Amino acid sequence: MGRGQSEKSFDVKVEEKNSVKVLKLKGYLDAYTSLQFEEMMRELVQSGNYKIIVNMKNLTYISSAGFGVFMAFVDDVRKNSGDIRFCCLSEKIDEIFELLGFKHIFKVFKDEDSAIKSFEEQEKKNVRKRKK
Amino acid sequence: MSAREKNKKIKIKSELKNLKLVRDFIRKEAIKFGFDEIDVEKIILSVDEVCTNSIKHSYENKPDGIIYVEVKKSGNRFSVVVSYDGLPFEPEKLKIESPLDKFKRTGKVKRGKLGMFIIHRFMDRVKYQRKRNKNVVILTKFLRKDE
Repeated sequence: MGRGQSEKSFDVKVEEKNSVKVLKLKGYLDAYTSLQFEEMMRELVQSGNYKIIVNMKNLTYISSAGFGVFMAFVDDVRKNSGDIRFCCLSEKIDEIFELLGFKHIFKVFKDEDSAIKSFEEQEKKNVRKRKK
Repeated sequence: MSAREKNKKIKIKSELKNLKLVRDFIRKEAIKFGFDEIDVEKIILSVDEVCTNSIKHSYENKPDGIIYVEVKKSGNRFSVVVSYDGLPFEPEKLKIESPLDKFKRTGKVKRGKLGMFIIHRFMDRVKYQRKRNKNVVILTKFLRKDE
């Protein structure tokens, strides 16, 4: 988004890649739009989807309410051998992640493929562990 | 420039859907003042968090409250004054802790009070006042000379 350009509203597209749910966020995630998004996340997690990638390429803004949605579910998915991982952050949102310490709480990847691969590698490790 | 030109003010009703109006207003003013993109974002986020708190906690999500957001510029000082009625806000009762420290301490990810942490992390000065039954929050950021 260019400087001074107005934000668009919020939308999510869900795709499935190698049994990982990829959420493509578009627009802004604030205290208003996060209400609906939280319901969507709840349904997703409650129906057993524990491996989640959040693609933030087209996300223009995120406030504490938006971060709060991911924080509310991450412990649950991790307990079930899953995770919520992020990719494709804009420079601005990447900086906010860094400054708030979220890069030490969440895994952040440059692109979607690397994020998907990270789940695949985790799965391979788990299989090796189980064999031992 | 006259004082009137230096100070800009908007008012919104206490509904979460109006946060975007505040962000657009602050973005325009902060860019005009000369802040870089990251500092603009920090200011927008902080003002958004104050307004969100006022709607959720002071107005308890009732939509008929009014929130005033005023920008005051003086020298290299950029202040945003957010004032609203409703229940008093008592910041001294809140313990502000970074999400990372909380995570390290408890091993759990908890979202509570993140907005307060953002405000104090991103602004240079944060002042809370109670004036004639009104809550007044003053957020200040200084423009560094190298910007």
